[in-house]
Amino acid sequence: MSGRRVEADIGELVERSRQGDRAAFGELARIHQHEVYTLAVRLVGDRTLAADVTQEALVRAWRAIGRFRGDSSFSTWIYRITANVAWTLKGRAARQATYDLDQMIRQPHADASGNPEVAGERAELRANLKGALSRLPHHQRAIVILKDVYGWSHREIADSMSISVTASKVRLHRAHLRLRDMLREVV
Amino acid sequence: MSQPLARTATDRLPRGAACGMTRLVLYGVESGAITIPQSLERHRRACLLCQAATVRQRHVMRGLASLRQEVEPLPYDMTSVLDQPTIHVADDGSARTPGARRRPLVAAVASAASVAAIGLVVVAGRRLRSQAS
Repeated sequence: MSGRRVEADIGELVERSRQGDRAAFGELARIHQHEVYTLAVRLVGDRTLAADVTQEALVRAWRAIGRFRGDSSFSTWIYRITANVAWTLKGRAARQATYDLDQMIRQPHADASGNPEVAGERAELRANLKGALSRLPHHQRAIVILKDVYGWSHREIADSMSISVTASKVRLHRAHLRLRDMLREVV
Repeated sequence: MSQPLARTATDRLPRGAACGMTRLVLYGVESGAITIPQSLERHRRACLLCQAATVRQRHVMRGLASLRQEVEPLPYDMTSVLDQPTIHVADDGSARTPGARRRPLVAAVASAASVAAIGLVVVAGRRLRSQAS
């Protein structure tokens, strides 16, 4: 199925969901749940809490879908909800975030290069990056993930985290410097 | 072909200091926190060590961006939460539709407005009676 066709289908599902069609929203949720859960795991650093974040985000999205105006894509919209829920539940849980690194590194990843050597190097880089990310303070890690992995603007990050754009830039810069130091030996 | 940059006072920095400063600001430029000064940009273009640092930095940034393609395995079907009746049914048993959460707020505002209106009528009535007497 082409990307344009998928977008058209999602647009139709969104429109039906806006009109209260639960089945259509269920289909939208099934399409996006992997990415929502992935973002949640990366933001809160705990798989059990990430599952709670994902479910709460899906419920909030269903309750708010009537107000979704389509200014951004549905995926961007639900990512914002996920990030907001993540801050809320993370604060509530009030526990130190740690990645389950062994589980993440064991996870197989298909590489499109077709070259086993290149694929191996990329997998190693990703493993090193995940290790370094897991050692960043939570507030810095969240910004790196949202900016460098998900491509959010500083304005979007600032709004989501209730900080200023300048604070977002400064935290990202500090996080980059820490990452550089942590990856000095391996990159 | 890159344009030659104007020379500034910081061109006289010792080589080691210029390398250190350049590598410090590289990530700042990436994060949008810093605009690289012309003198350091000129140094970066000319210094092989700083060019190598730039390549390493881009390698890291590409690696971070590639994490976007990875998805975590789901422990279970997260959409099962949407099948719970409490998600869709309001406290009074009526079906909950998108936007239904605003109804209690609207009802509260309407109640407050009614109470205020009744209060105004009572106060106005008392004033009229006191003026008449």
